[in-house]
Amino acid sequence: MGIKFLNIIKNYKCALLALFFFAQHSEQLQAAESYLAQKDVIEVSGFGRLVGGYLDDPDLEFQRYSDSISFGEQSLLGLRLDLNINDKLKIVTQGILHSSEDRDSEIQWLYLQYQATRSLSVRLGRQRMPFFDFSETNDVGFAYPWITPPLQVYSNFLFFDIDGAMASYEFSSKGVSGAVEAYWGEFEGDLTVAETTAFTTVDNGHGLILKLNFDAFSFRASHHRTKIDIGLKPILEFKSILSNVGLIESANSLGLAGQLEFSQASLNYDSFDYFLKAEVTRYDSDFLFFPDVNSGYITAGYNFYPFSMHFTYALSKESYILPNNSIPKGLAPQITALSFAFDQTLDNLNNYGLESTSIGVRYDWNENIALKAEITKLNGEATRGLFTRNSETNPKNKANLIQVAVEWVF
Amino acid sequence: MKYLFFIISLLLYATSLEAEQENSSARHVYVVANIAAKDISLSRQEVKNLFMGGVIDYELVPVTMAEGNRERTAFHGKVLGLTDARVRSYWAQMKFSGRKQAPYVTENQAEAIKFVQNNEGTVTYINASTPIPDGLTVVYTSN
Repeated sequence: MGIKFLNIIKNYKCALLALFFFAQHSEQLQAAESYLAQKDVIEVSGFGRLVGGYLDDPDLEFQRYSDSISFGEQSLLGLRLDLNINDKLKIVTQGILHSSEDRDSEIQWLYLQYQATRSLSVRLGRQRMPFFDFSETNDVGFAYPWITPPLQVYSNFLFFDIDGAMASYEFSSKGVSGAVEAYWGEFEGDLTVAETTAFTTVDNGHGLILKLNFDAFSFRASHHRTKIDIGLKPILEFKSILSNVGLIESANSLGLAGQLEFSQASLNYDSFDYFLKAEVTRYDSDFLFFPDVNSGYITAGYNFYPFSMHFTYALSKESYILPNNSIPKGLAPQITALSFAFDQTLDNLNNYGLESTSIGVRYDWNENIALKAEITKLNGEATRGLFTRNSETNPKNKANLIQVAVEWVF
Repeated sequence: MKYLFFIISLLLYATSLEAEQENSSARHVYVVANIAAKDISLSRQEVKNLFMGGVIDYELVPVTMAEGNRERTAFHGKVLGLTDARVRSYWAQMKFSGRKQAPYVTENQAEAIKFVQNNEGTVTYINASTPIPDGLTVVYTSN
């Protein structure tokens, strides 16, 4: 199995050729379509967002936003193709052009979806690991009330596009409906967090998701488990040096790979006048460089059509189990230097703690376009956190992020 | 002063649209289906689930109306309990997560009725002041 799984599906050129082939035979397939499905053989749809932002502190940078107005961080254009082979089978592909330097413009997903029965569907291919409520639509700003979904939960580094399989089973009764989903998959590629890029592998990622809907309430709970290996080059090199001089235990204590467990729960309330969203997440890892993180947010909103507004409070806290530095100081100068380097490595561990409150307004201009404005008061912790540049003049990382956005779907 | 005028105009505009949504949602709707069994009665949750892309015990295909129809707004408000805007963002989430299939869309109520009358197993909603169309069964009445 391994990363070689689904090589054909991963070969995008083959897939695109297949799309053109099916497009040329679309009339034949069209005839086979049921009138009720109202589907074209190829459905083209997409989404876009133009997001501008400004950070009110000249010495800080948050997610690349600084004290000059910029539209190059979250603006994007997404294109999705659904190739309906018949009523039960389709191929889905989605690509995104990002304005951000931190995210690659590429075909994100390519999977085969089979609707086995009215209740059961299966996907096979490259797809998003479904950690959160908005995992799969994090880039579709039209789908949610915020401009920036709370980053404490929706951190970029947790959006793995895995090669794998997912099964989804829906159920309902007179009063309650819901779904159970299970998936398995693997990932290999670069992940970027706070300007640091690391070649990362996710192996044997799997999880179980339960969704329930009752009246205006919906509930989602999920648990995920995976083996993960974060290839942070400077740390790998440092570990290699420590090993070469016989400091094996110290080298091993700088863990870059291990088991990651992730739990999530969310509750939504949606009524004609009000909405409420709350989501909590927790990561537990057994190695140093992936800290245990607890995070969550609560959003309360009011609808006054065509406007809606929200107030959001979000928080994240992380904890590291730091190894003891057993490398002696004061003996050989080289060993002492390594000991100080070890201390410095631990001091430089990223801190993801962030508290934020935001208020935002959304105006639904028409059925495809929404305009938004949002101000977020950020209160980072003393070290790096989710800020991409820190400053000694503002060591607590307190700043306001002001954003405007145009969101559209087509 | 210009800005004040702009903000007041915007608020008045929003108030009028909000009032229209509320007026529409105050109208009762019938959910009518073309089915052989005439004794089927759906709960509000089942109707909501059906028109939001979920499955229910009965194999029914939902038929909705295009944006701008008052019956659509009334149905969203009375039965789904949501504004038109919230329904749009819901479908954006469902569509781009590949989770659910949106209902079949017709131009207006007359088209929806005609479509349902011609296709067994389909279901739509109508304004409660509209006479029950021939051959269709009321499976849900809003409160």
